[in-house]
Amino acid sequence: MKFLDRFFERSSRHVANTTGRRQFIARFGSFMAVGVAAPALLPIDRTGKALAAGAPSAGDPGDPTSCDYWRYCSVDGFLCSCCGGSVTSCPPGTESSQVTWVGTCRNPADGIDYIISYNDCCGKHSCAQCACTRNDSEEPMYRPFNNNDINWCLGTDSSVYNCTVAVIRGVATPGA
Amino acid sequence: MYLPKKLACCLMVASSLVAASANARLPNETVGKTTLPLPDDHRSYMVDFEFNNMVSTRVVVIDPDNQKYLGMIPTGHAAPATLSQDRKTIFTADFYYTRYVRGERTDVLTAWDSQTLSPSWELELPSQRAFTLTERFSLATSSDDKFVYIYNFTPSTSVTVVDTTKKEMVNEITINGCILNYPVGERRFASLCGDGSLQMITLNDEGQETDRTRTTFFDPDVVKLVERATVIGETYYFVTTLGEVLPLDLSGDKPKLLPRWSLVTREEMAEGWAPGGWQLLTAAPELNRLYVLMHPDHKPHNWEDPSQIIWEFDLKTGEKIGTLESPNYIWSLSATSDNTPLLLGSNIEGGLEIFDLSTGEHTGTMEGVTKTPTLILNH
Repeated sequence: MKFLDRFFERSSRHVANTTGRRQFIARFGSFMAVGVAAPALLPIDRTGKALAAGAPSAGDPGDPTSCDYWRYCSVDGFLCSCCGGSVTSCPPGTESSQVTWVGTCRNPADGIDYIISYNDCCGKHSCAQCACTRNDSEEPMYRPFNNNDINWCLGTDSSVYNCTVAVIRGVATPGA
Repeated sequence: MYLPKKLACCLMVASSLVAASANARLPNETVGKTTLPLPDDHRSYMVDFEFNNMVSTRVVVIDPDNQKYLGMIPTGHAAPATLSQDRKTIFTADFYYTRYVRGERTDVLTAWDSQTLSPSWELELPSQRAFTLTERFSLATSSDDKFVYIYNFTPSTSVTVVDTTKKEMVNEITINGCILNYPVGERRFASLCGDGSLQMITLNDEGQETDRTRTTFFDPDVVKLVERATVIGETYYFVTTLGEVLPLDLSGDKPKLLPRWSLVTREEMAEGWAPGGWQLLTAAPELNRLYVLMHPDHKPHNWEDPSQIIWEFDLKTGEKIGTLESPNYIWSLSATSDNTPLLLGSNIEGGLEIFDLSTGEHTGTMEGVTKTPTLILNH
């Protein structure tokens, strides 16, 4: 139950920007609302060309192995940066999910709200390191692409969940 | 000297008998097999998600009156579970890989005997069952136990219909844009939709769809409605993250929205009171009361966090009538359906908190009976 213990360690970590999330949803539409095939509206990940692991920098501050790290504002799972991968790379021998959920997190260095995709890494059972649950921009399950209670190991050879990466996909606030 | 001699003789015989008795060899034994009685009103089932593994999960069977661990059901990949109305069967929607975490995936609906805790039968199904933190209404039975409904997420959404009398899958019904299957009577289920509507689907005896309605229910751009509802008969109670209760009568041909009410007064809301948890609310039907996990210092991102505080409401009046406090943080609630009900809570250490609702007393904690309990089920 370590992941639940985190509930009590992060009370001051609310960094999501609700306006940004709403704008993101409005821009991409809700597959739920229009009732069409979901994949057309998904932020598709091809982690084969995902970013290289990012070391902390002045523009990207914080510890990627800590639940406090700004990109983890809507994560629910084990941090791949503690599991043999990095904040943007899956651990050895695991496969990244092809579909995922997204959150909107504010980078404290530049004050910009970024769209973060939380791709699950799949094919081995739980890494069980660095459990982290933050629901800052999470929506109920009827908006699944903003929900982190779903195992997103979909479209992979195995639906077994190992850990989660947090990849920047763009800026949520227009003009920022 | 005669009497002491006789006494000594008796003492010698007695002591030798005692020694012989103490040295008697215990009889050989055989290994027994425990069979449980048909479940009583308080039999409880803890669905264990085991977050640190999720491959080999379980349902733990508990007698909360005697605080006794009765047995367990091994499940595959965080399987959802549900109970038949006749109390004879526990259904789980499992899947397995041939090489533990890889290889060929096989999905099955497993029907477990509630007395032997062994499989009575199973049915292989297409590999599409939703894999989420366990939702109470992702697996359900019709009120006559004829049909089992299984929620699928690929991420397209659908509901598989299994006829338990034939032990066959008889339909897969697309529910695009909607989630879960809230059972209604013998031939209906409802789903909650991302545009704020409630979809209700009616089946015939063959499991084929005969009717589908869509009713505006809430505005998802204004409120967050928690999908994890509770039900009495065919009336469902949903709650928003701010504490508004949205009752819904599904007993007719079309859903009937009942008057809404709030768990919190303006003053309580201003003080920071709001609901939160996983299965954060439950109802005791014989008392007509609702129980809700409440946060005293709620923030929006806490909406799925556990709590030690449970508020009790009269469902007839919406009036708050009591507060229960748990020694440990509770994530999910369930109440029994009899007239001397228990309130049960799964605590975040894997234990079970037990309250006697006749007295309002916390009667005990069964510690560490599961790893990561997500739900409690009761008959």
